Amino acid sequence: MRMVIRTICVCVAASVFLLGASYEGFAEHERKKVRKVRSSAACSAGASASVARFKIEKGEALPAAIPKPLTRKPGDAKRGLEAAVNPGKGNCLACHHIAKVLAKVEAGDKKSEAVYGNHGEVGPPLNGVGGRYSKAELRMIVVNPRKAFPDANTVMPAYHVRPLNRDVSRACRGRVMLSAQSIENIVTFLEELK
Amino acid sequence: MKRLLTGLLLTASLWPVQGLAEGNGKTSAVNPAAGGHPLKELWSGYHYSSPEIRKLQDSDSDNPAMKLYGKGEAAWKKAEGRAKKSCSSCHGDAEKSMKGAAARFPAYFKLSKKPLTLESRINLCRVKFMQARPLPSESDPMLALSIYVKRQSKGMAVSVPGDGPLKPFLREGKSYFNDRRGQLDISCAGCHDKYAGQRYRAVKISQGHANGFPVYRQSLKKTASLLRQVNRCLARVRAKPLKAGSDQLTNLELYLAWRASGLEVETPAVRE
Repeated sequence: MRMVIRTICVCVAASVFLLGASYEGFAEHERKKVRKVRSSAACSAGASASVARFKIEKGEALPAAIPKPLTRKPGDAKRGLEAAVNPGKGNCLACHHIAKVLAKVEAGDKKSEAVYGNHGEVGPPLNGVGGRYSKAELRMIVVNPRKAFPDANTVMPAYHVRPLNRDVSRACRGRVMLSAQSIENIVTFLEELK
Repeated sequence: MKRLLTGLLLTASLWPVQGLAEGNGKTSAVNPAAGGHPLKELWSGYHYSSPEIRKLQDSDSDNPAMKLYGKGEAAWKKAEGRAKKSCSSCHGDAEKSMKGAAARFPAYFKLSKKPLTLESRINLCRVKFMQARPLPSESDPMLALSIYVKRQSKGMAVSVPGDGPLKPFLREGKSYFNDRRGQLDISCAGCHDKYAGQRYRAVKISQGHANGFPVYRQSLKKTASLLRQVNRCLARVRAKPLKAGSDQLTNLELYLAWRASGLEVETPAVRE
Protein backbone atom coordinates (compact mmCIF):
# COMPACT_ATOMS: atom_id res chain seq x y z
CA MET A 1 0.00 0.00 0.00
CA ARG A 2 2.76 2.38 1.01
CA MET A 3 4.65 1.46 -2.10
CA VAL A 4 1.65 2.35 -4.27
CA ILE A 5 1.17 5.72 -2.59
CA ARG A 6 4.85 6.50 -3.00
CA THR A 7 4.77 5.65 -6.71
CA ILE A 8 1.71 7.81 -7.24
CA CYS A 9 3.37 10.71 -5.41
CA VAL A 10 6.53 10.43 -7.46
CA CYS A 11 4.53 10.25 -10.67
CA VAL A 12 2.47 13.31 -9.80
CA ALA A 13 5.59 15.26 -8.78
CA ALA A 14 7.39 14.30 -11.97
CA SER A 15 4.48 15.20 -14.22
CA VAL A 16 3.99 18.55 -12.48
CA PHE A 17 7.70 19.26 -12.88
CA LEU A 18 7.69 18.27 -16.55
CA LEU A 19 4.51 20.17 -17.33
CA GLY A 20 5.86 23.24 -15.56
CA ALA A 21 9.10 23.08 -17.48
CA SER A 22 7.43 22.74 -20.83
CA TYR A 23 5.02 25.55 -19.97
CA GLU A 24 7.93 27.81 -19.04
CA GLY A 25 9.65 26.92 -22.27
CA PHE A 26 6.53 27.67 -24.25
CA ALA A 27 6.13 31.07 -22.59
CA GLU A 28 9.75 31.97 -23.28
CA HIS A 29 9.31 30.97 -26.91
CA GLU A 30 6.18 33.09 -27.25
CA ARG A 31 7.82 36.06 -25.61
CA LYS A 32 10.76 35.89 -27.98
CA LYS A 33 8.42 35.74 -30.95
CA VAL A 34 6.48 38.80 -29.80
CA ARG A 35 9.67 40.76 -29.14
CA LYS A 36 10.97 39.93 -32.59
CA VAL A 37 7.78 40.97 -34.36
CA ARG A 38 7.59 44.21 -32.43
CA SER A 39 11.14 45.29 -33.16
CA SER A 40 11.15 44.37 -36.84
CA ALA A 41 7.77 45.97 -37.56
CA ALA A 42 8.30 49.42 -36.15
CA CYS A 43 11.79 50.70 -37.05
CA SER A 44 12.64 51.43 -40.68
CA ALA A 45 13.24 48.93 -43.46
CA GLY A 46 16.94 49.75 -43.61
CA ALA A 47 17.69 49.69 -39.88
CA SER A 48 20.21 47.20 -38.57
CA ALA A 49 21.35 46.11 -35.14
CA SER A 50 24.96 45.43 -36.11
CA VAL A 51 27.59 48.11 -36.60
CA ALA A 52 30.71 47.57 -38.70
CA ARG A 53 34.14 48.55 -37.40
CA PHE A 54 35.96 51.15 -39.42
CA LYS A 55 38.99 53.40 -39.23
CA ILE A 56 38.76 57.13 -39.86
CA GLU A 57 41.66 58.81 -41.65
CA LYS A 58 42.26 62.27 -43.04
CA GLY A 59 40.66 62.95 -46.43
CA GLU A 60 41.77 65.21 -49.27
CA ALA A 61 38.79 67.57 -49.62
CA LEU A 62 37.35 66.81 -46.17
CA PRO A 63 38.87 66.50 -42.70
CA ALA A 64 37.79 62.84 -42.38
CA ALA A 65 37.42 59.78 -44.62
CA ILE A 66 36.98 56.00 -44.35
CA PRO A 67 39.28 54.43 -46.95
CA LYS A 68 38.45 50.76 -46.29
CA PRO A 69 35.05 49.32 -47.29
CA LEU A 70 32.76 48.32 -44.42
CA THR A 71 31.99 44.93 -45.98
CA ARG A 72 33.86 42.31 -47.98
CA LYS A 73 31.14 42.20 -50.60
CA PRO A 74 31.58 45.13 -53.00
CA GLY A 75 28.79 47.71 -53.25
CA ASP A 76 26.05 47.40 -55.86
CA ALA A 77 25.15 50.73 -57.50
CA LYS A 78 21.68 49.58 -58.58
CA ARG A 79 20.76 48.62 -55.03
CA GLY A 80 22.34 51.84 -53.87
CA LEU A 81 19.97 53.83 -56.06
CA GLU A 82 17.03 51.87 -54.67
CA ALA A 83 18.15 52.62 -51.09
CA ALA A 84 18.75 56.29 -51.93
CA VAL A 85 15.13 56.63 -53.05
CA ASN A 86 13.37 54.39 -50.50
CA PRO A 87 11.87 56.48 -47.66
CA GLY A 88 12.50 53.62 -45.21
CA LYS A 89 16.17 53.38 -46.17
CA GLY A 90 18.47 56.20 -47.26
CA ASN A 91 15.70 58.58 -48.38
CA CYS A 92 18.39 60.82 -49.93
CA LEU A 93 15.81 62.15 -52.40
CA ALA A 94 13.86 63.74 -49.53
CA CYS A 95 16.51 66.47 -49.32
CA HIS A 96 18.65 66.17 -52.47
CA HIS A 97 18.16 66.56 -56.20
CA ILE A 98 19.48 63.49 -58.04
CA ALA A 99 19.27 63.88 -61.81
CA LYS A 100 19.91 60.19 -62.43
CA VAL A 101 16.85 59.27 -60.39
CA LEU A 102 14.64 61.87 -62.04
CA ALA A 103 15.78 60.62 -65.46
CA LYS A 104 13.92 57.41 -64.64
CA VAL A 105 10.68 59.35 -64.49
CA GLU A 106 11.39 61.04 -67.82
CA ALA A 107 12.21 57.65 -69.31
CA GLY A 108 8.63 56.68 -68.47
CA ASP A 109 9.16 54.61 -65.33
CA LYS A 110 5.49 55.18 -64.46
CA LYS A 111 5.24 52.68 -61.64
CA SER A 112 7.65 54.55 -59.47
CA GLU A 113 6.79 58.09 -60.46
CA ALA A 114 5.35 58.83 -57.04
CA VAL A 115 8.57 57.66 -55.42
CA TYR A 116 11.05 59.01 -57.96
CA GLY A 117 9.20 62.13 -59.03
CA ASN A 118 9.71 64.48 -56.09
CA HIS A 119 12.97 65.62 -54.63
CA GLY A 120 13.72 67.95 -51.75
CA GLU A 121 15.96 70.98 -51.70
CA VAL A 122 17.29 71.05 -48.15
CA GLY A 123 20.70 69.67 -49.15
CA PRO A 124 22.87 70.38 -52.21
CA PRO A 125 22.15 68.46 -55.45
CA LEU A 126 24.03 65.18 -55.59
CA ASN A 127 24.74 65.44 -59.30
CA GLY A 128 28.49 65.18 -59.85
CA VAL A 129 29.15 64.33 -56.20
CA GLY A 130 31.40 61.46 -57.33
CA GLY A 131 33.73 64.00 -58.90
CA ARG A 132 33.80 66.28 -55.86
CA TYR A 133 34.72 63.70 -53.24
CA SER A 134 36.75 60.49 -53.14
CA LYS A 135 35.02 57.19 -52.39
CA ALA A 136 36.60 57.24 -48.91
CA GLU A 137 35.11 60.67 -48.25
CA LEU A 138 31.70 59.69 -49.60
CA ARG A 139 31.73 56.72 -47.21
CA MET A 140 32.51 59.03 -44.30
CA ILE A 141 29.73 61.45 -45.31
CA VAL A 142 27.09 58.72 -45.39
CA VAL A 143 28.35 57.00 -42.22
CA ASN A 144 28.55 60.22 -40.20
CA PRO A 145 28.31 63.61 -41.94
CA ARG A 146 28.81 65.45 -38.66
CA LYS A 147 32.36 64.08 -38.58
CA ALA A 148 32.90 64.42 -42.31
CA PHE A 149 32.02 68.07 -42.76
CA PRO A 150 33.77 70.96 -41.01
CA ASP A 151 30.27 72.18 -40.05
CA ALA A 152 29.24 69.70 -37.36
CA ASN A 153 25.81 71.33 -37.30
CA THR A 154 24.59 69.79 -40.53
CA VAL A 155 21.02 68.53 -40.43
CA MET A 156 21.94 65.38 -42.40
CA PRO A 157 21.57 62.25 -40.25
CA ALA A 158 24.39 59.80 -39.53
CA TYR A 159 23.45 56.54 -41.25
CA HIS A 160 25.83 54.11 -39.60
CA VAL A 161 26.23 55.33 -36.03
CA ARG A 162 24.44 53.65 -33.15
CA PRO A 163 22.03 56.31 -31.88
CA LEU A 164 23.04 57.30 -28.36
CA ASN A 165 21.03 60.50 -28.58
CA ARG A 166 17.86 61.66 -26.90
CA ASP A 167 14.40 60.09 -27.13
CA VAL A 168 15.11 57.43 -29.77
CA SER A 169 11.87 55.55 -30.44
CA ARG A 170 11.64 52.16 -28.76
CA ALA A 171 11.83 50.25 -32.00
CA CYS A 172 14.94 52.05 -33.24
CA ARG A 173 16.90 52.10 -30.01
CA GLY A 174 20.41 50.76 -30.56
CA ARG A 175 19.91 50.38 -34.30
CA VAL A 176 21.85 52.09 -37.05
CA MET A 177 19.82 53.62 -39.88
CA LEU A 178 21.46 51.59 -42.63
CA SER A 179 23.33 48.28 -42.63
CA ALA A 180 27.01 48.22 -43.63
CA GLN A 181 26.06 46.63 -46.96
CA SER A 182 23.52 49.37 -47.72
CA ILE A 183 26.18 51.98 -46.97
CA GLU A 184 28.53 50.31 -49.47
CA ASN A 185 25.75 50.15 -52.08
CA ILE A 186 24.89 53.82 -51.68
CA VAL A 187 28.55 54.88 -51.72
CA THR A 188 29.07 52.94 -54.97
CA PHE A 189 25.97 54.60 -56.46
CA LEU A 190 27.22 58.06 -55.40
CA GLU A 191 30.71 57.38 -56.76
CA GLU A 192 29.18 56.82 -60.18
CA LEU A 193 27.44 60.24 -60.16
CA LYS A 194 30.08 62.11 -62.13
CA MET B 1 1.12 106.69 -71.30
CA LYS B 2 3.33 103.62 -70.93
CA ARG B 3 3.78 104.38 -67.25
CA LEU B 4 0.03 104.71 -66.79
CA LEU B 5 -0.54 101.38 -68.49
CA THR B 6 2.05 99.61 -66.29
CA GLY B 7 0.44 101.22 -63.29
CA LEU B 8 -2.94 99.92 -64.34
CA LEU B 9 -1.51 96.47 -65.04
CA LEU B 10 0.17 96.42 -61.63
CA THR B 11 -3.05 97.35 -59.88
CA ALA B 12 -4.86 94.68 -61.82
CA SER B 13 -2.28 92.05 -60.91
CA LEU B 14 -2.41 93.03 -57.25
CA TRP B 15 -6.19 92.70 -57.17
CA PRO B 16 -6.40 88.95 -56.49
CA VAL B 17 -3.67 89.22 -53.84
CA GLN B 18 -5.79 91.72 -51.99
CA GLY B 19 -8.69 89.34 -52.30
CA LEU B 20 -6.61 86.60 -50.74
CA ALA B 21 -5.65 88.75 -47.79
CA GLU B 22 -9.31 89.08 -46.99
CA GLY B 23 -9.60 85.31 -46.69
CA ASN B 24 -8.98 83.27 -43.60
CA GLY B 25 -5.19 83.35 -43.82
CA LYS B 26 -2.45 85.84 -44.46
CA THR B 27 0.08 85.74 -47.25
CA SER B 28 2.20 88.51 -45.78
CA ALA B 29 4.96 88.25 -43.20
CA VAL B 30 4.88 89.66 -39.69
CA ASN B 31 7.85 90.84 -37.67
CA PRO B 32 8.58 88.82 -34.51
CA ALA B 33 7.06 90.46 -31.45
CA ALA B 34 9.92 89.68 -29.09
CA GLY B 35 13.69 90.12 -29.12
CA GLY B 36 15.96 87.08 -29.33
CA HIS B 37 13.65 85.45 -31.84
CA PRO B 38 15.11 82.73 -34.09
CA LEU B 39 13.21 83.95 -37.17
CA LYS B 40 13.58 87.22 -39.04
CA GLU B 41 10.04 87.17 -40.42
CA LEU B 42 7.05 85.11 -39.37
CA TRP B 43 5.06 83.35 -42.06
CA SER B 44 1.91 81.43 -41.32
CA GLY B 45 1.62 77.89 -42.68
CA TYR B 46 -1.00 79.36 -45.01
CA HIS B 47 1.83 81.03 -46.93
CA TYR B 48 3.51 77.67 -47.65
CA SER B 49 0.28 75.94 -48.68
CA SER B 50 -0.76 75.29 -52.27
CA PRO B 51 -3.52 77.43 -53.85
CA GLU B 52 -6.02 74.54 -53.56
CA ILE B 53 -5.38 74.20 -49.84
CA ARG B 54 -5.68 77.96 -49.32
CA LYS B 55 -8.96 77.98 -51.20
CA LEU B 56 -10.37 75.34 -48.85
CA GLN B 57 -9.39 77.42 -45.85
CA ASP B 58 -10.72 80.64 -47.35
CA SER B 59 -14.27 79.38 -47.58
CA ASP B 60 -15.96 78.29 -44.37
CA SER B 61 -18.47 76.21 -46.30
CA ASP B 62 -15.66 74.26 -48.02
CA ASN B 63 -13.41 73.90 -44.98
CA PRO B 64 -14.05 70.33 -43.74
CA ALA B 65 -13.02 71.25 -40.19
CA MET B 66 -15.92 73.70 -39.97
CA LYS B 67 -18.28 70.73 -39.58
CA LEU B 68 -16.80 70.30 -36.12
CA TYR B 69 -17.42 73.99 -35.36
CA GLY B 70 -21.17 73.36 -35.34
CA LYS B 71 -20.72 70.37 -33.06
CA GLY B 72 -18.60 72.49 -30.75
CA GLU B 73 -21.26 75.14 -30.59
CA ALA B 74 -23.83 72.54 -29.53
CA ALA B 75 -21.42 71.09 -26.95
CA TRP B 76 -20.83 74.56 -25.49
CA LYS B 77 -24.50 74.84 -24.59
CA LYS B 78 -25.09 71.25 -23.50
CA ALA B 79 -25.27 70.60 -19.74
CA GLU B 80 -23.17 67.64 -18.66
CA GLY B 81 -21.81 65.98 -15.53
CA ARG B 82 -23.11 65.71 -12.00
CA ALA B 83 -23.23 69.49 -11.58
CA LYS B 84 -25.56 69.64 -14.61
CA LYS B 85 -23.72 72.63 -16.00
CA SER B 86 -22.66 73.55 -19.49
CA CYS B 87 -19.79 75.80 -20.57
CA SER B 88 -22.33 78.54 -21.19
CA SER B 89 -23.75 78.30 -17.63
CA CYS B 90 -20.61 80.09 -16.43
CA HIS B 91 -19.06 81.62 -19.55
CA GLY B 92 -22.23 82.76 -21.28
CA ASP B 93 -21.94 83.73 -24.91
CA ALA B 94 -18.68 82.31 -26.28
CA GLU B 95 -18.53 84.94 -28.99
CA LYS B 96 -17.93 87.49 -26.26
CA SER B 97 -16.33 85.56 -23.39
CA MET B 98 -13.94 83.44 -25.46
CA LYS B 99 -12.81 86.24 -27.76
CA GLY B 100 -9.02 86.43 -27.52
CA ALA B 101 -8.63 83.22 -25.48
CA ALA B 102 -6.80 81.31 -28.23
CA ALA B 103 -4.45 84.26 -28.73
CA ARG B 104 -3.14 84.18 -25.14
CA PHE B 105 -3.05 80.40 -24.51
CA PRO B 106 -1.19 78.43 -23.14
CA ALA B 107 -1.61 80.65 -20.08
CA TYR B 108 -0.28 80.40 -16.53
CA PHE B 109 -2.68 79.20 -13.84
CA LYS B 110 -1.90 79.95 -10.22
CA LEU B 111 -3.96 77.00 -9.01
CA SER B 112 -2.06 74.52 -11.17
CA LYS B 113 1.27 76.34 -10.66
CA LYS B 114 1.99 75.83 -14.34
CA PRO B 115 0.73 76.84 -17.77
CA LEU B 116 -2.24 75.02 -19.25
CA THR B 117 -3.15 74.54 -22.88
CA LEU B 118 -6.66 75.46 -23.90
CA GLU B 119 -7.51 71.76 -24.11
CA SER B 120 -6.25 71.14 -20.55
CA ARG B 121 -8.19 74.20 -19.41
CA ILE B 122 -11.38 72.81 -20.93
CA ASN B 123 -10.84 69.52 -19.12
CA LEU B 124 -10.09 71.31 -15.85
CA CYS B 125 -13.47 73.03 -16.15
CA ARG B 126 -15.17 69.77 -16.97
CA VAL B 127 -13.71 67.85 -14.05
CA LYS B 128 -13.82 70.58 -11.40
CA PHE B 129 -16.92 72.58 -12.16
CA MET B 130 -19.09 70.38 -14.33
CA GLN B 131 -18.05 67.20 -12.53
CA ALA B 132 -17.94 65.48 -15.88
CA ARG B 133 -15.38 63.23 -17.47
CA PRO B 134 -12.43 64.88 -19.21
CA LEU B 135 -12.59 64.72 -23.00
CA PRO B 136 -9.89 62.53 -24.51
CA SER B 137 -7.41 64.43 -26.66
CA GLU B 138 -7.84 63.86 -30.39
CA SER B 139 -11.46 62.77 -29.88
CA ASP B 140 -14.09 64.51 -32.01
CA PRO B 141 -15.78 66.18 -28.99
CA MET B 142 -12.47 67.69 -27.86
CA LEU B 143 -11.51 68.81 -31.37
CA ALA B 144 -14.98 70.32 -31.83
CA LEU B 145 -14.99 72.27 -28.58
CA SER B 146 -11.41 73.39 -29.09
CA ILE B 147 -12.20 74.60 -32.62
CA TYR B 148 -15.34 76.40 -31.42
CA VAL B 149 -13.50 78.23 -28.64
CA LYS B 150 -10.37 79.04 -30.64
CA ARG B 151 -12.37 80.24 -33.61
CA GLN B 152 -13.70 83.12 -31.50
CA SER B 153 -10.21 84.65 -31.70
CA LYS B 154 -9.94 84.36 -35.48
CA GLY B 155 -7.88 87.19 -36.93
CA MET B 156 -6.49 88.28 -33.56
CA ALA B 157 -2.71 88.27 -33.15
CA VAL B 158 -1.20 85.52 -30.98
CA SER B 159 0.32 87.21 -27.97
CA VAL B 160 2.11 85.13 -25.33
CA PRO B 161 4.59 87.00 -23.12
CA GLY B 162 8.17 85.79 -22.72
CA ASP B 163 8.51 86.89 -19.09
CA GLY B 164 6.67 86.58 -15.78
CA PRO B 165 5.71 83.19 -14.33
CA LEU B 166 5.80 81.59 -17.79
CA LYS B 167 9.53 82.14 -18.18
CA PRO B 168 10.90 78.81 -16.78
CA PHE B 169 8.29 76.82 -18.76
CA LEU B 170 9.11 78.75 -21.89
CA ARG B 171 12.77 77.88 -21.43
CA GLU B 172 11.85 74.18 -21.18
CA GLY B 173 9.77 74.37 -24.34
CA LYS B 174 12.53 76.17 -26.18
CA SER B 175 15.08 73.53 -25.30
CA TYR B 176 12.67 70.78 -26.40
CA PHE B 177 12.36 72.58 -29.74
CA ASN B 178 16.11 73.08 -30.13
CA ASP B 179 17.41 69.71 -28.88
CA ARG B 180 18.28 67.07 -31.44
CA ARG B 181 16.42 63.80 -30.91
CA GLY B 182 15.41 60.46 -32.39
CA GLN B 183 17.37 58.03 -34.52
CA LEU B 184 17.88 60.81 -37.10
CA ASP B 185 19.17 63.15 -34.37
CA ILE B 186 17.36 66.21 -35.76
CA SER B 187 15.72 69.00 -33.75
CA CYS B 188 12.48 70.80 -34.56
CA ALA B 189 14.58 73.94 -35.12
CA GLY B 190 16.85 72.00 -37.50
CA CYS B 191 14.02 72.03 -40.06
CA HIS B 192 11.52 74.72 -39.07
CA ASP B 193 13.96 77.51 -38.11
CA LYS B 194 16.54 76.76 -40.78
CA TYR B 195 14.81 75.34 -43.83
CA ALA B 196 11.30 76.80 -43.93
CA GLY B 197 10.18 77.29 -47.53
CA GLN B 198 12.45 74.53 -48.87
CA ARG B 199 10.96 71.28 -49.99
CA TYR B 200 11.24 67.98 -48.13
CA ARG B 201 10.26 65.55 -50.91
CA ALA B 202 7.12 67.17 -52.35
CA VAL B 203 6.13 69.09 -49.21
CA LYS B 204 7.24 72.60 -48.38
CA ILE B 205 8.65 72.84 -44.88
CA SER B 206 6.73 75.45 -42.87
CA GLN B 207 7.99 77.57 -40.01
CA GLY B 208 6.08 75.24 -37.70
CA HIS B 209 3.63 77.70 -36.17
CA ALA B 210 0.58 76.50 -34.25
CA ASN B 211 -1.71 79.47 -35.03
CA GLY B 212 -4.17 77.40 -37.07
CA PHE B 213 -4.65 74.32 -34.87
CA PRO B 214 -6.69 72.15 -34.78
CA VAL B 215 -6.22 71.96 -38.55
CA TYR B 216 -7.81 69.91 -41.29
CA ARG B 217 -5.07 67.72 -42.78
CA GLN B 218 -5.68 67.12 -46.45
CA SER B 219 -3.18 64.22 -46.49
CA LEU B 220 -4.92 62.48 -43.58
CA LYS B 221 -8.45 63.53 -44.59
CA LYS B 222 -8.94 64.34 -40.92
CA THR B 223 -9.05 67.20 -38.47
CA ALA B 224 -5.99 66.93 -36.28
CA SER B 225 -4.64 68.45 -33.11
CA LEU B 226 -1.20 69.92 -32.57
CA LEU B 227 -0.22 66.77 -30.67
CA ARG B 228 -0.91 64.64 -33.71
CA GLN B 229 1.26 66.83 -35.92
CA VAL B 230 4.08 66.94 -33.37
CA ASN B 231 3.96 63.16 -33.15
CA ARG B 232 4.01 62.84 -36.95
CA CYS B 233 7.19 64.92 -36.98
CA LEU B 234 8.66 62.89 -34.12
CA ALA B 235 7.88 59.64 -35.96
CA ARG B 236 9.76 60.99 -38.99
CA VAL B 237 12.91 61.50 -36.95
CA ARG B 238 12.11 58.17 -35.24
CA ALA B 239 11.78 59.65 -31.77
CA LYS B 240 9.51 58.80 -28.85
CA PRO B 241 6.06 60.36 -29.20
CA LEU B 242 4.76 62.97 -26.76
CA LYS B 243 1.81 62.19 -24.52
CA ALA B 244 -1.46 64.11 -24.43
CA GLY B 245 -1.60 66.54 -21.52
CA SER B 246 2.09 66.05 -20.66
CA ASP B 247 4.19 68.94 -19.37
CA GLN B 248 6.56 68.48 -22.28
CA LEU B 249 3.77 69.07 -24.77
CA THR B 250 2.42 72.07 -22.85
CA ASN B 251 5.86 73.66 -22.66
CA LEU B 252 6.46 73.02 -26.35
CA GLU B 253 3.08 74.53 -27.21
CA LEU B 254 3.94 77.51 -25.02
CA TYR B 255 7.22 78.06 -26.85
CA LEU B 256 5.44 77.70 -30.20
CA ALA B 257 2.86 80.31 -29.15
CA TRP B 258 5.60 82.72 -28.02
CA ARG B 259 7.44 82.05 -31.29
CA ALA B 260 4.28 82.73 -33.32
CA SER B 261 3.32 85.88 -31.41
CA GLY B 262 2.19 88.45 -33.95
CA LEU B 263 0.62 85.94 -36.36
CA GLU B 264 -3.15 85.80 -36.57
CA VAL B 265 -5.20 82.92 -35.17
CA GLU B 266 -6.51 80.93 -38.17
CA THR B 267 -8.34 78.08 -36.43
CA PRO B 268 -9.46 75.86 -38.07
CA ALA B 269 -6.79 76.10 -40.77
CA VAL B 270 -6.37 73.68 -43.66
CA ARG B 271 -2.95 72.24 -44.31
CA GLU B 272 -1.31 69.75 -46.67
